[in-house]
Amino acid sequence: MTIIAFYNIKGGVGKTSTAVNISYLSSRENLRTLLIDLDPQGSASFYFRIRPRKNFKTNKFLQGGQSIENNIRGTDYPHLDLLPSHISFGKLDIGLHKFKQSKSRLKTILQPIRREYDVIVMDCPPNITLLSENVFRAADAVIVPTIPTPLSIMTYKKLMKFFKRQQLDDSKIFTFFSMVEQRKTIHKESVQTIGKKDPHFLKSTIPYSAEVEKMGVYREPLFRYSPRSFAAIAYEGLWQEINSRILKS
Amino acid sequence: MEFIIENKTAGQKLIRILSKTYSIKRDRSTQREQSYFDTFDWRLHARDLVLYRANDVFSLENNRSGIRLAEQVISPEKPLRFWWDCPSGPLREILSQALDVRALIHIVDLKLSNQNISILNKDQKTILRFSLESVTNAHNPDKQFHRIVLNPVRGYRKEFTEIKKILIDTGQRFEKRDLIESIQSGSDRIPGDYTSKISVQLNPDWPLLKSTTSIFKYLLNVMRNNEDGIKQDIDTEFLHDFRVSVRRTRSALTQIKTIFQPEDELYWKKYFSVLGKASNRLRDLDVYLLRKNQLKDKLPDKLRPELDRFFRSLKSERRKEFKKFIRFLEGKTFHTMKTGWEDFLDTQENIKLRPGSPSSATLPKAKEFILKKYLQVLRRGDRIEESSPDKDLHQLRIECKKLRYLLEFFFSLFPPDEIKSLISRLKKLQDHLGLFNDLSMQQFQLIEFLENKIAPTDKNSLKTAGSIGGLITLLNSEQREVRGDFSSRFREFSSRKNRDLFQNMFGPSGVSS
Repeated sequence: MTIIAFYNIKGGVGKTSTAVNISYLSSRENLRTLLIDLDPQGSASFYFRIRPRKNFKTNKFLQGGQSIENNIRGTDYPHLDLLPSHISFGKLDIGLHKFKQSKSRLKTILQPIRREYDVIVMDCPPNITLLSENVFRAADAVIVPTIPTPLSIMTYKKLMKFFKRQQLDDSKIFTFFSMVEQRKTIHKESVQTIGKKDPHFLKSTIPYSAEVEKMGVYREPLFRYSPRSFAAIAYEGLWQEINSRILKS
Repeated sequence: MEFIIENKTAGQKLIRILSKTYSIKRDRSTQREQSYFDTFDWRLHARDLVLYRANDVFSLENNRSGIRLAEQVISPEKPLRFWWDCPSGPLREILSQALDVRALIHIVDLKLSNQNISILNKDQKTILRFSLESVTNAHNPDKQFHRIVLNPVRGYRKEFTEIKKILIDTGQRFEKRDLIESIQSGSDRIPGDYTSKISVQLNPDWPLLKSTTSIFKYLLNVMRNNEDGIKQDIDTEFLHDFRVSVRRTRSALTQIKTIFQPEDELYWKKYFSVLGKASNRLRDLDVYLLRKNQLKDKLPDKLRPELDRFFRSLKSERRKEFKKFIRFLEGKTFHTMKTGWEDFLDTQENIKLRPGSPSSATLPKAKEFILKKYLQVLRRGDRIEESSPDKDLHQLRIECKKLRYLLEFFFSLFPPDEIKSLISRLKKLQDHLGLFNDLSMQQFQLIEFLENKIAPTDKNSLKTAGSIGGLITLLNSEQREVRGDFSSRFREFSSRKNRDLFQNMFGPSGVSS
């Protein structure tokens, strides 16, 4: 059982699209998959047409156990479940401070559901808080979608430094170039130079795509309405790489 | 969740009613074939489980509620026969508890054709899958029924309850029937048609001769039922059940006294002794091979290759013994003896009772035999001390078995709950003695290997001898521990309370049903 988190302190880098499409691909290979939406914006939940129960608030989430079990919902796709987010999740980090083991509470919450799934994917909110520190400890792999510009790449490097300072295992960190626009010189150059030298970089890149943006309209994973688009093919490549490099080791 | 309905029209009506409250999306109609599996003795069915394969996916469901408990993709190149063939996951866990060493057998193939409908909420999210199905026996198309299947989506329990209520309020009759029973016909097997438990219905007033021949006929039937399974080498338990029936027959011939003429008794005792011996070595080898992984776990890694060699030689010996036994089963001797025994029993049943012949009613005689054997067990057990030889425990084990068989033969003559309780007390003692015997047999097996199979000049032999020697020592110390527990176990069995219970039930003025 592997836990993967899609994380970036910056918003709008393709975290949710990737989390949704990768979970879908995982379930399509008959791996029992759970997507956990930790972002109070609830985009992942929206894409799957799933609302949380009214009372599934921060304290219930942090309680773990039966509260989690009761709130997992099946998506329309076989082998794929979702734990939806709730607007109150904005206060998850405040709630976490109340716990003694405040940095490993999430890991503890996930313990009982581990045996139900082969893969757990987490869609994280774009910030760095106590919740993020929980994610870093709970996940087996932290995958950072990065837009190929110097500023974004710097954000990725800052995360590596953060891991080192916190004495976290930075071999967990992986990154890939997301929302790549070949026409932009700066994108092309960044992909060509940086990606090759750093072992944390996955080889697959995901192009910027209007098709992906339509997920908000169709409210389905990309492969349901546009399976042959460049983005879809790119996601399949990314999934294969994640599967062989991360899941199988 | 499944419900049987009369026909397709009834199903369409339900869909129309639901569409008044919910959005409905019609999906493609599909056809599929499902193959059902269970062990020869219906272990899954006994636990309310049903296992089937559709394409490459095995699904395990609760037979009553239809709730899917596990699903597993298994490629057809690796057939699922034993629980250890299953890839790890929830299915493997459940099967390992339910199946033990029995193999799965194919029971029936069904053709299902369904109309699939998704019920949607106001976000157009599927909250329930509703399917209108026709189920047909693939080899017997006359056997068919229709049903609706409700597959709730996880997390939408409330909506599921509401939908169920709407369906029930329509007044439609919903039946739950056992799927496999409903679809089988004629000579097809139905759940529960075989069990290794002995259950002969006797009448307390019957002459003992009649009761005894009923028991023998029952046991012969069990042997017959297992023959095919033995020949096809499906799993080890067919031979085991066959042998248990032979043992029970021999025990009855000895324990239930003065039933047949002495020369008949002698003849049949001899025959069943030959029958038992014919598969002794085969059964021993089966047991050794079943223990393979257990034994390997007890050895350090370095020495395991030697043990592998040992098991390879056991396997090849097993192949030879198996062929030998099959030849025996298919041979004239066995066939003549089977039909001879059956004819003999038929004749015995119809004997007009002469004065002095075994005309006594069953019940008082049954109590007499049981009580006598029980007292023998107590006497033997009482005599065993810490310094007594192991042989004494082995003897006691055999006497306990004889007592157990008697209790099982005459089970139907006594109040079920009470006799069950007595049997389970005896079983505790038997389990302990069985463990002791098992450890003994394991050591014996290994010593045999050391003595017969190792050529002193063989380069590998020293290493092998070392590993086997180490294992024997380990087993021996386990056995000493078990031996140490004997006196407290026996004290438990021979407690005042138990003695009183046995005396009450089987003593001269005891209870009967």
